Amino acid sequence: MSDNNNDVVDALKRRLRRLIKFLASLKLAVVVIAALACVIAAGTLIESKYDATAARKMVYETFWMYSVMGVLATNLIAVMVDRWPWKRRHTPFIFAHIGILILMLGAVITQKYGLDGSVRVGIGESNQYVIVPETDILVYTSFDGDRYTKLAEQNVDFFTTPPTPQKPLIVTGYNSDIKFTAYKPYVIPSHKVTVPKELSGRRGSALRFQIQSEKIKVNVVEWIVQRRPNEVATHDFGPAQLHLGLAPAKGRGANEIYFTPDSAKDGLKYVVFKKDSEEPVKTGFIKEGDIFNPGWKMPIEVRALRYLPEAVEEWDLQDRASPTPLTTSAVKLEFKGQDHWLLLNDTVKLFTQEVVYIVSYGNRRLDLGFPIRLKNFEIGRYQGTAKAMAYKSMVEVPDLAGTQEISMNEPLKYRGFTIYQASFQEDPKSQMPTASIFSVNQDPGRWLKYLGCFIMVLGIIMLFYFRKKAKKESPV
Amino acid sequence: MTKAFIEHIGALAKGSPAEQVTQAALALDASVLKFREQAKSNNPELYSQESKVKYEVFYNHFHPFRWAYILYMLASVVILIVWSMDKPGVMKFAWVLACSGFALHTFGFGIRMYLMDRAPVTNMYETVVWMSWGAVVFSSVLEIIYRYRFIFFAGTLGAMVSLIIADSAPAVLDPSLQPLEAVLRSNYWLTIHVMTITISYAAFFLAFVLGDIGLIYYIRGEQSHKEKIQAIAVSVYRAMQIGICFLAPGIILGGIWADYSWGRFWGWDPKETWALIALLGYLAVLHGRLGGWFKNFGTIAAGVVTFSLVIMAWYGVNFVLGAGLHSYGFGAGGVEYVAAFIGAHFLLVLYASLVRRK
Ligand code: HEM
Repeated sequence: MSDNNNDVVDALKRRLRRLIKFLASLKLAVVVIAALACVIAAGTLIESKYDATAARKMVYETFWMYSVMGVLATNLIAVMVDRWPWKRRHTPFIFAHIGILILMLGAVITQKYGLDGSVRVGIGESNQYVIVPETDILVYTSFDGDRYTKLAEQNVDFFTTPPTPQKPLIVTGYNSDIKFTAYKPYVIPSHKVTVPKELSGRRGSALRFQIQSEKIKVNVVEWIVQRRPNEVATHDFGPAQLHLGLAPAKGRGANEIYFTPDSAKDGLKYVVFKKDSEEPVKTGFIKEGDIFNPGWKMPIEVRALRYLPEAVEEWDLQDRASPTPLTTSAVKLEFKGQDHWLLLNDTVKLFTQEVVYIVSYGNRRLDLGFPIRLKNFEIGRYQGTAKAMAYKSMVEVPDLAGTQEISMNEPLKYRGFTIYQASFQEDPKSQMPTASIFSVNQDPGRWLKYLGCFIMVLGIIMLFYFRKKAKKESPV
Repeated sequence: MTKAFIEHIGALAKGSPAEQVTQAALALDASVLKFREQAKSNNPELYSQESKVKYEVFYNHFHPFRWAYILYMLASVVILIVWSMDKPGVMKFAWVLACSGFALHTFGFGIRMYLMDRAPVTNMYETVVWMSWGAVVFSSVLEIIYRYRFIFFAGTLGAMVSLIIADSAPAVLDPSLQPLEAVLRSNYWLTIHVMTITISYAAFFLAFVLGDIGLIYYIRGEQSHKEKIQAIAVSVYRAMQIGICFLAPGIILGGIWADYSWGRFWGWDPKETWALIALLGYLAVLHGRLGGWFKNFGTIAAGVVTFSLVIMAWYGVNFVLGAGLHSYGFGAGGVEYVAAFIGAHFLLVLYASLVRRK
């Protein structure tokens, strides 16, 4: 009996030893190193076909990648255990491998606890929210259309796990559910304004207008859409503004027209203001197809092309196979049998007889706890070219006196965050910068990574020193 | 000034009397001078570099790299004679030739550095010049240790070939002196990072040329060249170790630079990632040899095959993948030649392994 037991234990021990031998084998090392190389090579191909986000979600932050890294770490630990007791000639090997392990640990800590986001601040403005890559779905409800309460908040990663009609993501509402049924990663959206199937009386109106002038060669056709009734929606085209909403008693001394919907008469009352005058210069009433001259200095005519007392804005989406600067992503949601497309970082309103829902889908914003104020932005270009040579931002943060300068290689370290100059936005016409983009970063794994790198490099350099000695000792 | 220029062109085009042309030319000269004076007073610091212009003219005229590769060529021919005819006395001569070539190579590099106020390693052309410089250095060091001769042959031959390629493919490898993108300006870490990585490519390049020589021995008959093959395999392995010794720190320096400029130690940028893939490739070979998977043939073949990862990291990312933060060095061209080059070497390895099996 006890013999038998011993046999079993021996067999187990043997098996365990063989397992350790296998885990510690150099052949496994070659396989796992080669596998890692192949996986990340696939990542670079995906990045070149799609973009960095796709590469992260399809390769670098997947189960496959983590498995390979896990096997690599196991392999490294096992081989060091296997070589115990360590001899002098093992020094480079031990250093290189412990360095790698520390480096990997640092990377895990960064991944788990680090922050890597971006902040856009317009010149003269301030912002205290960082945008991070994670996305959330938020649902708010309201009974009166004014005060909203949060109904649901959910972290979603539609890129990795897109919803389908079979497996939708469901947010439960008071009387009907909101179902997310499809996702498109790369679409080019264009506006579409339509009449809702059911009128609720709680949506805004829409006006499609045309501004025309033979003399100054202008021909603009646009929609103005109110997101809710009585809101003032504006279309600004430089020298003049067109508003849809209630006109104020006095103008701002600019060229403006206010269109006030009057659904009972199926048309709009209009009030025209003029530059350098507060009093209305003209009032009237138009219906679809009517035309009038506001009487400004510039010789233009305004025509009402279409008037919808109650309108919804929807998106027409063009699919793309890969991302471009114009593409965004969109998710389809179904509510009371109707489909709506919701763009990334946008909202959609849903109506029932009793409640209104606002659904938003977008990147998570984290409060930094302090505002970054951009006082000024400077850009230097190479002589005679548009190529940016260097640029810097002058910012203000609380508690630090005066302005701080952030430039390409001179970040600002503040309250545990490091704020880097990432890029900037400029007006496409005048090429004047309009906003600065910072990347905001917190990396608790940084020092472990540096330590690991240092130890590993030390090990690799020692390779030569110890090799020569080893050669003298034993000619292998 | 534009007006003077147009008049000059116009006079030339109309075939006007010589006198008139000369007059227009004089007017043009005068307006150029005036423009230069104006520009000077607008930008005093820019035009104080006039003496640099002289050096630039000299550099373009003298063309030190051409002289360097001619000398390398002569040196490798001499080593070949020493090696095949067994005349060790002439080896000194090869050293003299190679050293003069190397001096010119260094001089050319130095003058470029002076002209641009930075280490010239920011585009393909410049890195090829720098890499071939490194190949000569590493091969001399290994030659002094091992005295195998073919190591030095591989170094000078490799440097010669890459300098000739750099010179004859200006469309891909732009030799002109170019200003830098904002991210690359006056950045200490970046320069060291690029120089370290490209110098590691020099060692891998040496391993590659040595591997080619080894394959030729295999094709000519393994049995009769056992010792040579053993020596070549050791040299390939050493060259790879040198390469790893520079590539790993080089990649890490890249991480430090990225951390310093963007707050991101590692962002899976394609160029960095491919350098890492090349490193992993050579680490796999290193461990394979330690574990007995790669014997002499394996090591020699790996010296040739694994270099394709370096080519991908160095050239392929810019010219084939064309993505990522390193987009400053991008261009297009030569892809089919490079692919053919890699393909031919794969076939050579295959052929050698078939010959060996027999
Ligand atoms: C990917 C990261 C790795 C790096 C940077 C690395 C680096 C090194 C270095 C520099 C050496 C010394 C080479 C020499 O002595 O000639 C070495 C040796 C060695 N490595 Fe790794 N290695 C890695 C992964 C692995 C893995 C996963 C294993 C698992 C088995 C492994 C097993 C060994 C062994 C057994 C030695 C030889 C030790 C001895 O002298 O007995 N390595 N490694």
